[in-house]
Amino acid sequence: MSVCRNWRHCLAALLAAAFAGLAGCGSPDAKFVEYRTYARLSEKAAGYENGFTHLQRQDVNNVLAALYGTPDAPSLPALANVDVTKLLDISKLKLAAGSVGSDGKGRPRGLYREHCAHCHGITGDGNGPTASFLNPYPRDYRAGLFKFKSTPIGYRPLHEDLKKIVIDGIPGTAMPSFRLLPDQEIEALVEYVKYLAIRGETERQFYNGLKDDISESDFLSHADPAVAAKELADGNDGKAPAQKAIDEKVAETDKQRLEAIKGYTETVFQKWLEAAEFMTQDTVKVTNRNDAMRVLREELVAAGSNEKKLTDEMVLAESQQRGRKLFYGPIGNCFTCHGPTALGDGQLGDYDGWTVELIGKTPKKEDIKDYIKHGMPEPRNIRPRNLRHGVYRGGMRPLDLYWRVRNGIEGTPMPGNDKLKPQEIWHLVNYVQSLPYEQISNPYEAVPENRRERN
Amino acid sequence: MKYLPRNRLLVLVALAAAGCARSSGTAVWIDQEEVASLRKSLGGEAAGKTEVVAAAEPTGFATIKGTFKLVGTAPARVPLSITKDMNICMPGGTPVLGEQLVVAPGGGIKDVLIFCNSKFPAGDPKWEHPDYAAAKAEKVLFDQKSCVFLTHVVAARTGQTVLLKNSDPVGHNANIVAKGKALSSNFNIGGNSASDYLVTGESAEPFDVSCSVHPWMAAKMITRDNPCFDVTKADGSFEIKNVPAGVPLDFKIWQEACNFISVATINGKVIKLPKGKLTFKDKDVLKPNEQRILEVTVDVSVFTK
Repeated sequence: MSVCRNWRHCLAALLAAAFAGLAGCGSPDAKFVEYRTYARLSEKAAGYENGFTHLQRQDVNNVLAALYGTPDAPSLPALANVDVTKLLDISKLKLAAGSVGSDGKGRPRGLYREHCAHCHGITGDGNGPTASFLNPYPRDYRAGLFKFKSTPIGYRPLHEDLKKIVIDGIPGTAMPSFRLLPDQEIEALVEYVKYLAIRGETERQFYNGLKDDISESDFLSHADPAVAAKELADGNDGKAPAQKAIDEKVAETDKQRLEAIKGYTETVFQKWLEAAEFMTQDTVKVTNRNDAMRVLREELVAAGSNEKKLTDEMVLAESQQRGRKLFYGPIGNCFTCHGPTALGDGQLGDYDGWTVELIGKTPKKEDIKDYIKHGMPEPRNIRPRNLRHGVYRGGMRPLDLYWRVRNGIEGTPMPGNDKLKPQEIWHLVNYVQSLPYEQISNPYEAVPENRRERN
Repeated sequence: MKYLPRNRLLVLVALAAAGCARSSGTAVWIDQEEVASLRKSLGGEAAGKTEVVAAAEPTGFATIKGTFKLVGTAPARVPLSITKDMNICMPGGTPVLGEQLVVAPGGGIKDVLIFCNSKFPAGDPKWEHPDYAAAKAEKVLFDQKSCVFLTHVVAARTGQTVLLKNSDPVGHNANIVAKGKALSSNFNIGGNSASDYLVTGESAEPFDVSCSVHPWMAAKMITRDNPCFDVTKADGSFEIKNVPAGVPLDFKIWQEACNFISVATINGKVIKLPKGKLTFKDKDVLKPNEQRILEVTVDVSVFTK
């Protein structure tokens, strides 16, 4: 043979071949993954024994790619009834998308993959390589639900809410702070998170559509002329229809299909725009804590306290006392979950909303197995916060605690309190903030009685 | 040559190449041509939302009424595990039973939801009877007593307010995990007080309402744009007044234990209901002032399978 005339040639040829092989092995293009858990949920609800067909799933993927592009080249849909640019900025998305690196001018690329993807995944499914090692699990953006925000349950978060989480991180979890990044890079990341959430929500809408319009199960794909011909024939005593009629029917079905796709997509964008609008209302504006304390002071003076002797500490103590009453009362009702001693041990058997959606509140073994197979992380119980640590995931500012008490926490059993007056919410916040400093939170160390003194 | 024949060399090269491909899990494969054509048609289409409305106009109003009955022996109701506030949630220590499928002695099935799935043009008096417009201002009561949601399946219209009431001395909340265009909500409801939930949009299927404090408490809620729906009473009876007549309509029938009911005997005839869909069209279209009676029996196997 000509290649291997002797063993040296042979070795050289082998090495050359090995190098050639290796050089051809760059990473494949990053791809979004399918929302398998939600597809499974929809399949089950629709009663599909064997699941959605390959073609149906392919259809969803094609439409999603047409609307939102790929991880390397994101794009935004042009929608008639919604101003997409009000919500997302494509130039910022491009800064965050793609593989990690920088362009000729030194501007960064691939920020999301650099900082976020290893936990949150390329698709934002909360299933990156490190995800299963973390407790709590990283957020799966695709439901559009975020815990720590200024908007009430049922509304999407504001841009500023997500930005705060990126800047501050989430204390007590693996989510770090990205405060050291330049502002425009943080902005790009926040935009990209919104983009992934919206893309995921749209995917859910499509699977919902597949589930609901079961007879029109190919509602996302092109109309089939053969099916149209058969339908026309059925409506006309079996007579074969004219080609023109078939073409018209196909065109009509295709038009409906595009309208359906746009309708589903617009619904998702509208939800995000709605939140920003909702938060401009006066009724949801937060009152200042200092104002609340001033009002309490005036109340106390009116009730006969000596104005000169009444220190700020005394007003605060009174506020904490009132907060304590609410904490254990039937309106605040905090102790039922956070526990009679606020150690977070009142209710331990719940799951979070992302899990309950798939397997229910009292999950069956076979369901858990099934969804884990499709990408659900091993379910863990969600625990009410231990309020004696003084670590609050949604932020340490009094305002953050105010929002938690007022609005509840999306996707968890924590309810909001719309019946409490702003002042009462501040009392609760004051009480909660005092808990880590109560003696029970920092018990004295027991001193052994017969300890031998050492020099 | 002696050491490495060419075919082995090829195998090695092939292995080297194959070893590099990374597993991409369920990464999606995309049909680029289809994507390009779709993108073009999505971007190029003219503006405007199409209202999906049946072409015909209603000629009057009719009533649909009837009963749902079970054929066969209903599965026993499972006692709930009550773990908290025992004196209020389990008065006298009597076990509280789950309400998934409640069947009356005569066979009547409670909490079957039947709703019109056709789209009505908004605010058109030909479609929506004036009585409904007047009833829109009334609040829909959703009460809780002894840690049980007294309405196990609650249905309300877009624009209506659901009064989330708490008749217990202990605090509850109504954790509404909405679907479709309805809004999720979860607010504390103190003992013997109430809270409002405004219905902002419709949902194609019922969704969960639960209480975070008492995890065994469960109910279902559905929100609809059109007013034609009812939930069967304890004896299995229902009545939907003022349904638009003279137009083809789709209804859907749902029960918690089986989701959408797939097959039922209606007035003696076995009818398959794809995804719970019952259609009145052609000769079945309702006539003005007609009283359409639906005597529905459902075999127990529908619920237990």
